[in-house]
Amino acid sequence: MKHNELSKRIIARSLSGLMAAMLLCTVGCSSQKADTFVEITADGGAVPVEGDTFISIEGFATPDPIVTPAPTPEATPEPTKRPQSSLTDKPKESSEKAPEKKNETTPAPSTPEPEKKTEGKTPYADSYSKVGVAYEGQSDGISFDTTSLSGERVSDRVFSKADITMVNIWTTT
Amino acid sequence: MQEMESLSEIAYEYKGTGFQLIGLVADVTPTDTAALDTAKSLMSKFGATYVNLTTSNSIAASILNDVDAVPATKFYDGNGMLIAVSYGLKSKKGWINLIETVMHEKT
Repeated sequence: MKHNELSKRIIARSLSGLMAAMLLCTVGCSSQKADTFVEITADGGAVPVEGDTFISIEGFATPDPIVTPAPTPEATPEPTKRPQSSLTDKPKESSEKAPEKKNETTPAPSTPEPEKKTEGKTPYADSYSKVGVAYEGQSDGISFDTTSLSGERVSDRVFSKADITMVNIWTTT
Repeated sequence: MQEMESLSEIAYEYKGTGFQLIGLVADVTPTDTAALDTAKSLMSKFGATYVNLTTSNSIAASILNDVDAVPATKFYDGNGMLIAVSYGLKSKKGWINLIETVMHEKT
């Protein structure tokens, strides 16, 4: 009778120990780096008594670190193209056409500049009346050297500062 | 001389267009201080802000050699070649018409 009770106790402890071992193995025993001896007691840490079983668990190892997946950068969304349908979308049409018109009209002041280079770069190009002018056919440039009324020296090189130089000749009397 | 004011306005308005205006006082030499003072006072009186030259020997031999009346106006290109001549007083509109005509026909 006493022998039977001892056997049951041993079996119960062995089963609980085996279950604990299985539980530990599920945690991580893939790599076998160390041998660890774990004492399993049936009564949760009580002082072992005669007949307690020691179970060796082989391959208890540090679990592999959980690799946090690096966040993949999201692709920058392509700029939303102005849908052609917006032109047909009447409520938006008025609001979107306004800035477009603005874009068309904004460069207008700068665009006439190239035109001015060829035709109307002078301030009264569009409003003057053509007059008869006595044109000269001089073949050589003139040469002179003098001073201005303020005393600065001026030579014929002054002509190179402009395409056309108008010399207004007057007298004090 | 009254046209100095309108010529000053024209000189300002045509800045950066390839056109420049220069005055030349035909009866003032660089050494004639009295005439210089007279010319300066007239410039000040009529508000001339553009450069005015005195008459040196080389000016007399080049710009003034064929001028027989004043006021006279001569147009030169960038190489100093004479391209047009005009005589007489003009209003601002008259100056503009003359300048625009020369600018468009000779550039």
